[in-house]
Amino acid sequence: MVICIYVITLGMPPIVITFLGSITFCLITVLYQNGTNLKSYSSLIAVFLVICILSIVVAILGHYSQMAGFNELELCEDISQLSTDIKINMQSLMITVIMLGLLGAVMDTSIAIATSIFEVYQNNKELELHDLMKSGKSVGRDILGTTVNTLFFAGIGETLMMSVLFSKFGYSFEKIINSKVFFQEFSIIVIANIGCLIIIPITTIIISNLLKSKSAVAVKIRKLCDEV
Amino acid sequence: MALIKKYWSNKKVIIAGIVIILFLAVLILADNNYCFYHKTIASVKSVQEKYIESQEGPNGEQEKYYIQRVKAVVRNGIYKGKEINFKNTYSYSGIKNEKYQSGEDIFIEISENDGKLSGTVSGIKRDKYVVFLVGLFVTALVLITGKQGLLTLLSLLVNILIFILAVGFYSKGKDFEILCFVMVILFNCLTLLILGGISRKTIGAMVSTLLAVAATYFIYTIVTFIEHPSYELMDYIVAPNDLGKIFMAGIIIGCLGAIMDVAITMNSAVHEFAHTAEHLTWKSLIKSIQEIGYDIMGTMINVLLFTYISGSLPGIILKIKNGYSLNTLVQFNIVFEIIRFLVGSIGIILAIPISGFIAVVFLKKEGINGNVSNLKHYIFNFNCFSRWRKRR
Repeated sequence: MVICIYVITLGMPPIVITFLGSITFCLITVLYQNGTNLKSYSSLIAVFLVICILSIVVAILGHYSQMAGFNELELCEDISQLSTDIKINMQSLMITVIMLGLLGAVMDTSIAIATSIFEVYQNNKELELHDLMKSGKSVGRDILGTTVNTLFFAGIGETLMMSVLFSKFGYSFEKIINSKVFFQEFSIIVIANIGCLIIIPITTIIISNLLKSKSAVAVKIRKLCDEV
Repeated sequence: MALIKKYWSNKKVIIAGIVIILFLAVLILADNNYCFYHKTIASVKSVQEKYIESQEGPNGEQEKYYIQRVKAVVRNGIYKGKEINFKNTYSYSGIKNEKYQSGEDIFIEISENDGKLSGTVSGIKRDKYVVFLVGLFVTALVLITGKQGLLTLLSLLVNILIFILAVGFYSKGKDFEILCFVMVILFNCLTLLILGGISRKTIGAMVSTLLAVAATYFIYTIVTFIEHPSYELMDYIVAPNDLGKIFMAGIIIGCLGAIMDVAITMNSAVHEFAHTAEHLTWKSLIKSIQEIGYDIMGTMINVLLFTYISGSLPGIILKIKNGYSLNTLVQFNIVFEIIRFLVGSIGIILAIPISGFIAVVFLKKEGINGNVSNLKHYIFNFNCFSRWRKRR
């Protein structure tokens, strides 16, 4: 994490760092906790796919809604004396912020689903692709409720100060909903939740196909994992 | 396509289709709701850009500045339909300034001078993007999880409502500490009830969450009693007299979700373990509780770490660029993120033995050699069981 921040300050483009950084985080966490096997590979692929998809969504959204940069409340505080000529594009930094924010939750969900499908498969190897997907779906349903709430409460805890400020100064609804600070915090929470949602089918489809498919790639990966 | 078809049933696709159409309707409404606003809104029609200069930053970077000539059309109020021109300067980093594109809606303050209109921009209209994100979230929720997703949505809505009410009460002068306790209890009970229904497991999870939160609060109070963090350095300061209380409430609510997650997993796993294991001894039960705890701890702490640290990234980078040392940063700037993260992690770690203990207490009342004849129940619980068996 610290290395990541320093590399960005050295002037590397934040988007590249986001991808490299999140792959490294995933590799370390998943491989350290899970070992090298089919489960780890499929959740790695799934997490990477989700990050790619959401980066595109955030890039488009950020382009139009101007959510990058410092918000109204931060601006009146301590950064006002600092020089802002730092030649780092805040638009792409925002993508980094959101992607890193959702990485932990997405990894957690993905590993949980991959492991339970793998477990189901090991207990009964005759199961069809369809059955594996079904079990993945039901596990996903179980995990999702608590994950969404974890993210939601973490977000609320973080934005408590902001909400108190809004209510103290009597901000109107239209002012809150159009303000940059609300949109930043809101999009971090919602995009993390969307990430947790779409990782469920992606992981399910990837791992059940890796386990069952007869295509050359899947067979190759299976062999590779068996050897390890 | 065949793969996707295997995953989703037709009925779900239809429901999702209805949801998508509904949200498209709201989105179009949000895109055209100019008449609801009192402030003047203008849509940017065309933009001309010109590079003006580059300024030198603190480390010798060349920051480029551009100037935009923006042509916009006013959409509401007395100037509706009139064209307006203004200039806007923006920089490559875009930290304090914004770059406008054609098609954007902006709030604008108009002043009339000899029949010529000029304006200053006060912000961008973001409501349609909020609607877009909510729509994306709800559609994905319905498509992927179906009925359970609706329950999750319901619990979220209830929680948001409670939160808004609580903040409203605070601005009417109620004490935030008491409000925080009420909020925690309500959040906890309602969320678990909505998600899990009334069952022994739910009640067990509820009790263990409350105990773990209480323990975390206790530890936090002792630590802040010994050493006060200087709250004046915090973001978004508003009310200097109860900063400590609000910060405490933020921390407690922030770790509540994680603690709840741990409690649910722990209670269902212990429940399941007692029902499926053939020879249940205290030793094996305690050992498996430790194992589950070890499994969930790592990932939960990861979730908290990434959620908390990522938000302070732009500030940290700006300050490093301006020559702050890591030491100063940790001491004055990210100290609150660190406190938040550490207290959250302590909460998670405390929640593991507490919810293990509570689960066992509830189990004992039920009779430790539970009947395994209920096969349906067993299949239902298999999911929770396999979750804690991951990484074994």
